[in-house]
Amino acid sequence: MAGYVELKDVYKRYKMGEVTITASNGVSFEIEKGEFAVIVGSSGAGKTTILNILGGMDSCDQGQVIVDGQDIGGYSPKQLTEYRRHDIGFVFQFYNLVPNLTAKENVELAAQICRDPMDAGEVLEQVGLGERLSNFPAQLSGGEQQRVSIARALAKRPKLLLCDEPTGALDYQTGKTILKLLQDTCRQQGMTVVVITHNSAITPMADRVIRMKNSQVVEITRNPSPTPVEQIEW
Amino acid sequence: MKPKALIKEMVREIWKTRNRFFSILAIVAIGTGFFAGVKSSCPDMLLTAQTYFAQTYLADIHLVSTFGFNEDDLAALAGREGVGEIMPTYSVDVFVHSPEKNENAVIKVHALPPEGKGLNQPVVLEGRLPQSPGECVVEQTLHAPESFALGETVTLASGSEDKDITETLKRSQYQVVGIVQSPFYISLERGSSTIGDGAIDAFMMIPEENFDLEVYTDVFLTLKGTKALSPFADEYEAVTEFWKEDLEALAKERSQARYDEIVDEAQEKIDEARQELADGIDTQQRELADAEQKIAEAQQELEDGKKEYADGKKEFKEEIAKAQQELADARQELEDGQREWDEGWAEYTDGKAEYLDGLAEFEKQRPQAEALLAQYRQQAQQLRQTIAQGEEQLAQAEGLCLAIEGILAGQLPPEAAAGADALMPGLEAMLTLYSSLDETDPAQAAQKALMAQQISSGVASMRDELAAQDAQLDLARDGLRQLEAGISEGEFQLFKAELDLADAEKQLEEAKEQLNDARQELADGWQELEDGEREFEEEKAKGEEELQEAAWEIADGEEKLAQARIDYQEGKEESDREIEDAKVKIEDAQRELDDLSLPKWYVWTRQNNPGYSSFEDDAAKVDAIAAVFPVFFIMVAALVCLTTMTRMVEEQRVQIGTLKALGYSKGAIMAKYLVYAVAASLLGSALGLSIGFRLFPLVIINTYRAMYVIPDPLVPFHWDTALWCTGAAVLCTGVSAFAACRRELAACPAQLMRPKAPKAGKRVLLEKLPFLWNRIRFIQKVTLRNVFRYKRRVFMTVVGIAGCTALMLTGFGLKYAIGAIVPKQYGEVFLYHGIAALDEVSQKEKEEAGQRLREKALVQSAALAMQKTMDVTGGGQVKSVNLFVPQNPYDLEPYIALRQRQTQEPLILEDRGVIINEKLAKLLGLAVGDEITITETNGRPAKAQVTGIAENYTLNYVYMTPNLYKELFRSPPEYNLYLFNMEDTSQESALSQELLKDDSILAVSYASDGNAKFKDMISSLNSIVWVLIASAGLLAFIVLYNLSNINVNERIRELATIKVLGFYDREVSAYIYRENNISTVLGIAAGLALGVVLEKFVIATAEVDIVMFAPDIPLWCFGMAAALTAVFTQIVNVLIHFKLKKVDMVECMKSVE
Repeated sequence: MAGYVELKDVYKRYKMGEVTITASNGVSFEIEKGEFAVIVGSSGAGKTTILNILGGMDSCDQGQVIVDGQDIGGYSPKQLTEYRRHDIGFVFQFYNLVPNLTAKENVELAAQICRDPMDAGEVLEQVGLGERLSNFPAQLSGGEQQRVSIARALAKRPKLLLCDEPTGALDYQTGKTILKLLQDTCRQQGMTVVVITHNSAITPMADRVIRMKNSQVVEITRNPSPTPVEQIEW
Repeated sequence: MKPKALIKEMVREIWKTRNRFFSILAIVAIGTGFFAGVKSSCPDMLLTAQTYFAQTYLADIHLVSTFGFNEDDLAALAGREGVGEIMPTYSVDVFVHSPEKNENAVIKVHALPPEGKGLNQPVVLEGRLPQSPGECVVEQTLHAPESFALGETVTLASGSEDKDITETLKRSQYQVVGIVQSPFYISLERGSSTIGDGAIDAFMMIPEENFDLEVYTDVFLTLKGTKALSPFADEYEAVTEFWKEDLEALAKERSQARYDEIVDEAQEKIDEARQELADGIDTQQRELADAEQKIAEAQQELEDGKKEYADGKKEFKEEIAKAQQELADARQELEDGQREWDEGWAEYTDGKAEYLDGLAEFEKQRPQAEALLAQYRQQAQQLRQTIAQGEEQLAQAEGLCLAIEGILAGQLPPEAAAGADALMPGLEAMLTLYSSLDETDPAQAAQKALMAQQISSGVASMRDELAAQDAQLDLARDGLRQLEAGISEGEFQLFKAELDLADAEKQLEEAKEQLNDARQELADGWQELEDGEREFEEEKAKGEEELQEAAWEIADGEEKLAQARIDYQEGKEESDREIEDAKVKIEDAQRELDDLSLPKWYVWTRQNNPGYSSFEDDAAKVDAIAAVFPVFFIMVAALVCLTTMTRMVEEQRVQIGTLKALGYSKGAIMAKYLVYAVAASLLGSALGLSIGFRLFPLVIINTYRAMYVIPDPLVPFHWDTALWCTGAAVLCTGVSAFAACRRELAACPAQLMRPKAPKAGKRVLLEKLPFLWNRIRFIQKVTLRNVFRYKRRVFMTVVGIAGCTALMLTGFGLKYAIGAIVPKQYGEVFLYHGIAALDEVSQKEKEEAGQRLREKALVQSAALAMQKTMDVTGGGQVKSVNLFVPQNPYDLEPYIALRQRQTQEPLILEDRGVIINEKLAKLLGLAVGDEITITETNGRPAKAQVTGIAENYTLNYVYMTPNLYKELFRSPPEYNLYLFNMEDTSQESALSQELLKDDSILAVSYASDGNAKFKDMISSLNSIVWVLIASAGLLAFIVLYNLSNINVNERIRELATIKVLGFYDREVSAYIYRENNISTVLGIAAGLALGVVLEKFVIATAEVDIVMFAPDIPLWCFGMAAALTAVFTQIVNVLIHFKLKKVDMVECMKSVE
């Protein structure tokens, strides 16, 4: 059966002067709906490129990127924007909250542009920030900021939650709680979550692990019984 | 000493941040370029003119004399100390017919200065200078370009109708061989003329030898010691003024000398003419007298003829009347005769009837009478027979007796008594014896006597017997007689009856005869009458004809006489006229000579050349603008540099920290930024100056070249300006870099190395007003927050935009303020169409001239007024103003609208005070109710109260009533002009030509002249305003773009994030736009407010004493300034949109710096 998310022979090349760098060299994988997938690889393995392509921030030169039956690989920039707007939730390493907006407003910023968003307050409640709605990012800790970031992604009811090193800027404990939040969201809401990380230690918590190296997928592992986050240590 | 790595790093830094570097460079370039360029425009303008004047040897002094200059004058001039070079020359105003405009152009013809050494050398633009006398050069004229083209032949015509061109010039046709410009004419104004419409249209130059004049018309000269001076410097003016006074003194001297010379000569000529005239008058009188005599004679003759004719006519009439009377009498007579005749005839017929009755009676009685008579006659017969017998016997006896007596007497022979014997026998024998006796014999004689006795006795006895017998017979006779008487009676009666009848018949016959005769006579009479009448008619006709002929003859004579009179009159009039003309001419000449004022020398410096002084004024105006605008540019540029440098230092905080941590000194670290700033500003100002020094002066001067005929502008590099401009720019950026670095460097390295905590979000004040805040859309809230968050940058943007708007408003405002002067002055204040200046003639002549003026078909109405220059003192200052006195203050309205500017309330000129114009009030600090002192040149000061302040834009005026004038100056105003309105203003030229023929009218000018002149100026002003606006726009653009760029760069993460969140491009752009738009709106609002202040300031700086710029800024200026600023910001928005499109979403993945 075809996956909810499916990449087929995706190539992406960048021209840097006279040198052509192949950032994605025939990447193919699938992720099923409701799965918690982790794309793991070291720096320069091509995982960010995949994230960019999957997140509609970049297009691929070759191959198919099918999300929920739509091939976004051939999308125009406009369509890609639409795709990001309605189908994708992003969680960044550095949260990327608008500093001038309160937690609630940051969520609203995303919510107000998409169809049928969740209520900002509710989402924040969900991520455990019911008390901090009117705080500015500067008044929040890193973990709280990342929660706001997740809430902002979730408020859109995306088809896919893409997380780029969500714990990268956080301390161990906080990182864990964030991963827990992501895993819970996946489990409880049936959200398809893709986490991109260089940290192999968190792979056990995923349903599917896609390992990348040198712009290629080297291994795809299905994990029939993922370990709860609490039990993972690194 | 400098660490190499740092230098290398710096160069790389510049390259890496070339956008920023160039933006600093650009803003500095614009600031300095604009400043230096505009600043040097005025000096360049003056330099251009100065160089031009020097190269063409423009004269310092231009002398014109009303009498021209002769050699003595020139010698006197040359002897003057201050005089350098002298160039006497000629000029004359002529007409050139322009086929294109189909009218005469007034051309000033100058003599060409000697090539290479004369003054006022023309500059050849095209073609060459004349080489032969028949060639000319013309200016690059605006008038009739076709007929002035190279190779064309120009035909000159004299300016006055009674003079031929050949009186002044040797030839009238010239071929155009070159197009020139002259330093003498730098403005488009060519001066005034006494011919045509009074304005010179163009000039041309011909070789000097063509002039055929006794004296020079113009003298140009240079002064010693002026060469080294700038002609626009005060020193130059002082020097020329000094020598001008000196020359004016000389002018007085020379004028008197020339005057005497001319007066003597002219008087002699006039006297000669007078003599000639007197002779002529004598001749005329004599000739006229002769003619008169002849006419008188003819007149007498004619009179006689007329009299004769009248007599004849009278006689004729009388005769006719008489004849007519006679004829009438005759007729009357005839008619009477006829009537008589008729009566006679009736009588006759009556008579005839009577006669016939009588005749019948007579015939009846006649037989009875006749029977009776016959009886009587028978008886008588018997008786008579008896008697007859008796008688016979007696008679015989008697006879014998007688015969015997006879014989006795010897008378009868004796035979006679035969038979006597019967009576006495023997007797016979006795008688015979007796007779035989001779008486002579005495014996016989006695016998005889006895015998005679016997015989006689016998005879006597016989006779007795006889007597007895006879008595018996008498008885018978008686009876018979009685019978016979009865018969006779009867017969008589009968006869008488018969006779009577016959008589009556005869009478009737006679009467008839007579009647017939009378009838005949009557008929003859009628005939005669008819003949007479016919004859009368004929005679009458003849007489009339004769009279007619006589009348004709008289008429003919009269006509001839009349003709002779007319001829005489005409001849007389003509000769009178000729004499009168001659008299008038002589009188004119005499009057002219008597009126001949001293020859007037006009000593004109360059200041008197209208182009020259206005050129200087215009240059000063540019300088005034330069004083304000560029400073503004520099300020904004400095502000932008400060922001940019601050941002740069902030961005490199980590690097600064690292360097600091590595142990670099503060100075070394700071040096990088200082050098960066200084390099950018140095390069920027070098670029700006090199462009600005050329571009702005060129644009501005070339703009003015629409109004001035000057050569290509000279735009040198002004080192002084360049130096301090660059200094200011470097200092500005340097100080901002230094200030920014100092703040950063104050922190410790550890702090610096950590990314600067993003500025905490903050609630804005508005959020405390939930009823407002909650109404605002979410995205607007975001915008508002951002605006308040980046206060400083927003403030800078606002300042930049405000500056731009203010500059534009000032530009538009200035354009309006200057552009509205003329339409307002000549469209709203001065409503008259033209002014006719009057000569100095009597008031009566002025009134008459006014009458003539009003009668012109083209003139609608006219009003007499006086305008005079006076000094007004008020508020401790003296200003020269025009005193204006309308003859009829109540009739001023159609010509000049006196009104209060703000309220538009009309002001009424009253005897109690004067009305002054707004600018004058401002200059002297006067208000209504204040007192001013008016002083006539060399006159008594007079005080008057200000009763009104009137709207007015050019020149300064004091209006007063004639009564007040009289009261103040103790004499009635001497009116010197007519203001007039026209029916059709397109006929100005035609009207001028007509009016200038009037001797009382000196000159005619029109409101539209000033209008047209100003329009040129306005159009040139427009381009300066556009330069201003474009520069302001550029400024706004750079400021906004630069700041927007900084904004975008500072918030690149945020922008990338919202992009990733799926904001469309336009939404991302709008995210920034909204902030820009708010800044723009704020900036425009602030700019409009600032612009009003700036505009007022510039106007106050640029305004001269005699001009008031329109003080209001109309709404459209605000609209235009705002709209244009908005357009510029939108352009920036569009550029930012493209920049935002390029923002890479990957940015959001990066770590915080």
